[in-house]
Amino acid sequence: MAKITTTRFGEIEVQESDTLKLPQGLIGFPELNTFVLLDHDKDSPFKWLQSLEDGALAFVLINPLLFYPSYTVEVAEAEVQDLGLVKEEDAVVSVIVTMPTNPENMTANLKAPLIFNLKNRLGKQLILNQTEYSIRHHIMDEMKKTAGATATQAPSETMIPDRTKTASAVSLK
Amino acid sequence: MLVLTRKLGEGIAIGDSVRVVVMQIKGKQVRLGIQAEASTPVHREEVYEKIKEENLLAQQVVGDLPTQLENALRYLSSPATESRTSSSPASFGRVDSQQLPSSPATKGSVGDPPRSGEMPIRPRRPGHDGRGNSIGDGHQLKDSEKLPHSSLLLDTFAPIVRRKKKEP
Repeated sequence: MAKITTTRFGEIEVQESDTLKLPQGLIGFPELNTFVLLDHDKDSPFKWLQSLEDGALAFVLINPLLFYPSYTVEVAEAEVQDLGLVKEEDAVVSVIVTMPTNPENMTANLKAPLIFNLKNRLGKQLILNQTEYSIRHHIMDEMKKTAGATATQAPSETMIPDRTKTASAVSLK
Repeated sequence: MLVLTRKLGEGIAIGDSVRVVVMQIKGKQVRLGIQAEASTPVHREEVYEKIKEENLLAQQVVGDLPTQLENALRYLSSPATESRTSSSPASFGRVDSQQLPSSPATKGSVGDPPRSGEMPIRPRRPGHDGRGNSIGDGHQLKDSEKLPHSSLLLDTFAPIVRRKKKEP
């Protein structure tokens, strides 16, 4: 167990088994390789990715499906190897939130998600080639779109293409 | 910087594993073909640079973050969006499997109860929370106020990964 002094959370105790390893760091921060994930609050959708090498560095993460239900991440073979992924189900995805002064304008970086292997806690920031995902997705706008679709009972129609797409694309094994 | 002149169809070899070929020249645009091992990331320079900038920006969370997060939260759990959440309106942290466009392969892994051996998420500051649930920015935690950080938190993210088909 190691004690780390952070700017935002004071001194925290981190167990080795709780650390996340990003061997290549984040883009622009290649020297930061170990992190811990902290809850912002019990029911908060936001999590903190706190660097263990630099106590002053922490990123806000969110589950992209909360505001973008059809979001999918394609992982190339090289990344599968980097992460030691055996099954797609072992991987989870989160995206980095950029929080401007006005929280209504907060954006998520869907172009470069973080992917973690639940089994070995290895992570990596990917760059997706899919052009529909941008570096600054307006979260509130996406939320409104999704909420509107749910309210008008449209989700079954809008989601079917994605569902089939995902289903056929996931290879078990 | 090494400067080379190449004609259409000619290439450049970089090391043993990278090959760059001029595929097309059209006015001010040049189309390049890049052959590299799958483990070598190849990106348009400006995309890479922009992500770098965005990462830098993302960690510079200015000023009063808790208020911002709380406001954002209120926004997210407003009545208009409530129908998307699971049984407890405020719990966006866990995703209800019903709202996901999940395939049979991924279904079940989202809404599953915590696996054995994992601690449930504890309230962050039990007992003394003067103003709602917000966390003070730069608030120094006492020893008794340990932040929950467990593998369970990773489970709150989305299992939406699919393997890219091998390129021909």
